Amino acid sequence: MKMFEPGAMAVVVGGSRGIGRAVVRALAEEGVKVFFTYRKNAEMAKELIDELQASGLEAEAHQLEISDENQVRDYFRMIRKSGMRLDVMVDSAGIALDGLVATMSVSRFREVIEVNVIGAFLCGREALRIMVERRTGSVVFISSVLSHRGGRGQANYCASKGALLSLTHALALEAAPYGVRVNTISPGFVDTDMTHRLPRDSISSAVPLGRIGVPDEIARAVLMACSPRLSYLTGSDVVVDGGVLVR
Amino acid sequence: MDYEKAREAAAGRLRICRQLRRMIVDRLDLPIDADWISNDQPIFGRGLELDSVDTLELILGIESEFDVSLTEDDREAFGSVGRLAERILDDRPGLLTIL
Repeated sequence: MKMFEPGAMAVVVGGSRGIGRAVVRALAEEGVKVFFTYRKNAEMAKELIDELQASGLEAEAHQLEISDENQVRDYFRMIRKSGMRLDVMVDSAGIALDGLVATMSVSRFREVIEVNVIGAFLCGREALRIMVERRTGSVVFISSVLSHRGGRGQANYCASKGALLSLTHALALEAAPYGVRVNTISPGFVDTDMTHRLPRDSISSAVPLGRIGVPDEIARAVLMACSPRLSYLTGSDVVVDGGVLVR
Repeated sequence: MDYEKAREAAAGRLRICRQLRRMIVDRLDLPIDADWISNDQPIFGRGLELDSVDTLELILGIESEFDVSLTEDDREAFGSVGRLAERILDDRPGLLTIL
């Protein structure tokens, strides 16, 4: 049994780098038509498209500032007006601007919330509007193990990722009557730009599995969560962290 | 605006109101004739007695038929079919002539 129906279409927000990039590739490999967005790095987006094309796969990239309501509205309007279906929306866009609370400016706190939370709300709202029309669909937000536990110097990031869990709970309830599922995936330490500055040996000792995760390992969980094969999964958080949380 | 243009605009508004009334009845599966709804009749509360789920259906219908995206910021527009038509025309003035 295939993971997705023939002709399935997905939007991956924040798909040019890190976990989002792995999700784009994994969905395309499953035969899903993928549209992904990037915030700044057009070069990496193009590189991904070239990579996929070299493997006979296709995806389309668009620049999008997800905290801008008009841009998000126009982006999903473009999808709706083109007559495309929308089976999956994965929001993997996120930023981290670390600093201790005692010295953190409001603007630094707010910027993370704008992208990680307001952006997720806007993308979730617009995706839901399309999915409700077809009475089916799946939304996945990429949260973090830091939504479950504290991270020193990461109050803004932790707050934003915790908000994604709560957003998921509420949205799952509102979307369920329309056959739309909403879940989060909470990765632990994953080898991306965001974790490059962290010392590898300290990560290894903090993770029961003894190593940092790779984006593909998170992408596989995302694929399962948004596949119709997991049709009874909604309002849930799937923690993919090598055992960090149960340590 | 000369008389002809004003008449054309009024006819355009009526066309949009008619389309909205039909959309409301169809999408919400109301057991009434679309023409029974008047353009100034309240849509919510004691009017057609619609609820928040119906609001979502209406918003989706308006987005689909008129390409206008509404949110709760536009709650005043849901006062009546006539107000909804005005709100739609704020975003899409060209609809007065192309419908």
